Amino acid sequence: MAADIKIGCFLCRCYGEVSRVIDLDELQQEIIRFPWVAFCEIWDSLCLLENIDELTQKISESGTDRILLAACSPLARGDVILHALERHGINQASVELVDIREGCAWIHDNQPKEAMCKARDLINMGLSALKQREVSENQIIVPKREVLIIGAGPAGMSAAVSLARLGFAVHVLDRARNPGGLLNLLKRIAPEDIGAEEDLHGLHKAFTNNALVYYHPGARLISSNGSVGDFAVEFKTGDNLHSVRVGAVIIASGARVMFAKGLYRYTELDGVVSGIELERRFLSGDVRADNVVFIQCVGVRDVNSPYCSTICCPVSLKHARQLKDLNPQAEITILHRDIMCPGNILEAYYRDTMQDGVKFVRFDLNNPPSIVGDERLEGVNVFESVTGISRTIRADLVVLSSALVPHDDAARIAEIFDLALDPLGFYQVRTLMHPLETTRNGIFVCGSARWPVLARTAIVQGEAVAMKAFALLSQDSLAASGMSQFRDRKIAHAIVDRDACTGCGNCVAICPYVACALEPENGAFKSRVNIMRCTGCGSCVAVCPNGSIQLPEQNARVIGAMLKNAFS
Amino acid sequence: MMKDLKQDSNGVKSEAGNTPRVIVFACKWCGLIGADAAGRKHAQLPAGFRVIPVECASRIEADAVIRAFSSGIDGVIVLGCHLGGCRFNAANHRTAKKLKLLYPLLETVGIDSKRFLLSFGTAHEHHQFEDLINRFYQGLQRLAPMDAWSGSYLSEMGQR
Amino acid sequence: MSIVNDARAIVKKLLEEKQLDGVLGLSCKHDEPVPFVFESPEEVDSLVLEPKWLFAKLAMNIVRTSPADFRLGIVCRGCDERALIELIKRNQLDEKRIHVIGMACSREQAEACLCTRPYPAIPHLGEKVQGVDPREEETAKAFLEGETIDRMQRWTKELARCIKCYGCRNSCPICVCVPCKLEDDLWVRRGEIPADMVSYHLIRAFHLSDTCVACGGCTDACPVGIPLMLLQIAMRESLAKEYEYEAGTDPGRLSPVLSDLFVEPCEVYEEPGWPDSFKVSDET
Repeated sequence: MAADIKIGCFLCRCYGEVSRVIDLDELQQEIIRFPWVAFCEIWDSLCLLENIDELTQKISESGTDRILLAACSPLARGDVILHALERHGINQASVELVDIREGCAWIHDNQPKEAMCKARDLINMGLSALKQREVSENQIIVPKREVLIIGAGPAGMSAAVSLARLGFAVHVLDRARNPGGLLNLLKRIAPEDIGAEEDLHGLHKAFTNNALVYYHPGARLISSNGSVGDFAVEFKTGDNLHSVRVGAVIIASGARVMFAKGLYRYTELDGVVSGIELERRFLSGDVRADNVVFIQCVGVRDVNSPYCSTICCPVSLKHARQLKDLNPQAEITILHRDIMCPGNILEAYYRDTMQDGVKFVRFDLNNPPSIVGDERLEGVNVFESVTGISRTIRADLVVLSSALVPHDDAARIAEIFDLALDPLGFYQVRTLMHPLETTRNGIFVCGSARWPVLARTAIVQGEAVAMKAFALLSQDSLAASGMSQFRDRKIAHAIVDRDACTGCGNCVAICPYVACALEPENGAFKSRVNIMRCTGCGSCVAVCPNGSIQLPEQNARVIGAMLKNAFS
Repeated sequence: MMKDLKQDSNGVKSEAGNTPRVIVFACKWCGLIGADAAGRKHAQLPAGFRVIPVECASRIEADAVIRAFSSGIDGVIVLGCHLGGCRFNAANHRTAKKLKLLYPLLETVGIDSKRFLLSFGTAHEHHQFEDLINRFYQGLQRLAPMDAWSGSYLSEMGQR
Repeated sequence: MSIVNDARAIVKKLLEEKQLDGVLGLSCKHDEPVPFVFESPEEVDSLVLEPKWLFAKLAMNIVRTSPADFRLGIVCRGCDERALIELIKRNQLDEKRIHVIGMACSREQAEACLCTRPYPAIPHLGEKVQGVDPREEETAKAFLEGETIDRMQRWTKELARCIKCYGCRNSCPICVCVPCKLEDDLWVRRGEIPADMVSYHLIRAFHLSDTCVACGGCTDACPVGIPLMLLQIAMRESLAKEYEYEAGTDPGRLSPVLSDLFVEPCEVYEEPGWPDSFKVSDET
């Protein structure tokens, strides 16, 4: 194949920017002497609209299938040319862009002789790369227009309702028997100050009444296969095994309330309760207390759990206000390390609470408060970091603000979907500005499963992932080449030479997207790449002991050829 | 024969005289952006380096680095994105760990570790790229060219 | 010697009780010791344990070509067992098909091999002795330490004798790839003797960076006596220091360089002025 290659070359003067340093005429004379070069033309520019039309015409007339463009950097106008050629039907894989402007002329203005050598070398590298380049296979599927949602808290319900309204059927798996998630444990929802039994934004009603929402209470996720556009998921409700095929999965499994074991004499003294317990007391009846002390940042914001759990401050403010409503004479003190109330609504909430007479006392991580009392709760001793004074506050009720920690099912669900958890145990999302998407295409995460959030934020995130899933699945078809995580088109897919593969499993272990898998074959193992998952990063190629897995567009022979021709 | 290979501690250019030949493997998302920015700024750089762009630094196999040295190339630079910022889901972590193992091997056989720079997230701005290339070259100037290294054993065999 | 009698007793028992279908070891029934699969207890009288002979690759091939229910025992030194574990991790061998009869090496053998771990996980035979540090042996030290330029000259001289017999690759228990990069013109220039020193030997050494079990097979096989195993020492030390990893000691742990820094963290050396750069030697 390499012997018949004929490459068409275009050298760009860039209206003098390149040609004033590099003698393109001399280069042209050298290049056309190569037997694998069909022609070599010098143009004043390659990137203007009229240039593109002429370029494509020249290319199709000449019958060459490989093109070398020696022009500017891809970040300058190079990529524009490539995309424009693509739109005219010329595959990007058949075009090599060599940067002789930013990469040569402009950085060696003062060394024209060396710049000439370098330009010659760079073009040789480009030519040799083109000769060795191959094309990746592709796969096109019609996506399933159904979505699986795991969790029926505010995030899950919101995602379900949004998708259903757009005409997509959704299967919602819930561990509990009733939708609502953690909201079912609350009397009031902060900072709305509305009762939880009132439907939060009509969400509950919309969820229950929409015919496209298939709610599965008491469900347990069993297994999952497939990739974006077509996931085959199995789950059980009771003894019944169900199977669904969906195009996308939304993880909205939420977080769990932390059990403050061993902290502040929790479970030892009757008067020390957790925030969620207090909530339960509000649900079952009124709570009267005369002297209440709240302790914030319980079990979080330390070296083991270096995060702020978001909800604890607004919730304690909510509880303080509820207690004040019931007993305006109550002495309420909130011991904190910072009051985290961002935004205008939460800020106003905080100010109103202060104006209601609730007191705020700051302590340090190194000097936490201590509970005073042997058999019965008497009070709390706190070292105020602002004044430097240590004092004991009388208390008949101490509330340890309950933080949110990762769900105990998170690891199991992550395993089933090949998702990563961050070091704290929450679902990991893609780096760089993709806050609700996991590293697996087609699997999204929202709500407290990703990061502790308040109900209102969870609802908004649910709507957001619904839109992302909708945008993904409403396309007529999904091509593997388009399933990049951040580009409109992937550079390449990995492919395995099954005869050469030894089944060592290096590619399986290293792939950041779990795209390689070993298949048994005649007593040995061979690797296979799922190209819907592969992003073309090349990690597998770098660790394959004998080069049986390759990226066709940048295979080992391309790199080897470039190295060989780098210095004439 | 062997004495020409001794490092000159005064920092004077090696006997070979020419600009050291360097291959830069740069990922398109950090290293190449820095190179492009240096170009736009017309930073004047030594002309002995050639850039091989890759989609992600994880594509770079150690064998290619070794092959570069065996072809007589004097220095190899691998530029990847910052360790927390790889678009390919921390693929650069593996590259970092794997290629880091090249240092003990190269050191064992006497290929100075100054010939191989493995750097993540340090070259995405023009002055960083410029600085990196210049400093790498300064380090290389004090060393004998690689040609002499692989050439010396051929002389042992009387083949030079 | 009594260790041989112990070995014969163990192997006989395993065969008599039909726990194994065959045991791979050395037999002296001909003039020279040769590898042999003992299948009946009577044959075991010819079992010997010397000289050092690595069975891992042989065992792998026997298991592949024998019936699926054939259980093979192997009389293994420490390095051999480590090699078997690495082959298992790389899916070249099914661990259910083999049974290791571990043998600890003598002090003399450990010194001859410069072995840091001259015993298997469970030594059924022999007494464990302490390992040897290659850096304390004079000739080895010369290849690992000292001035860079002297080291380079020393290695250059050694590797210039290479006749490219591929003995090192063939004897290495981990090297199983067909085709092999060392036979590919892209990586190693073909038709040249001596082998292109940098690419042949360094590519081979680096491929084994995280799987070399320090068996010394490469050094033993080299007809011109190049101390090839010394190429691996620095990399093994680096893995031990960074990740507390030694190839072949833990069947459940894959090479740490295949996972990200959250799963297998290491220190990121920060050279002043080169943040996020990696550098092993100190800048003077």
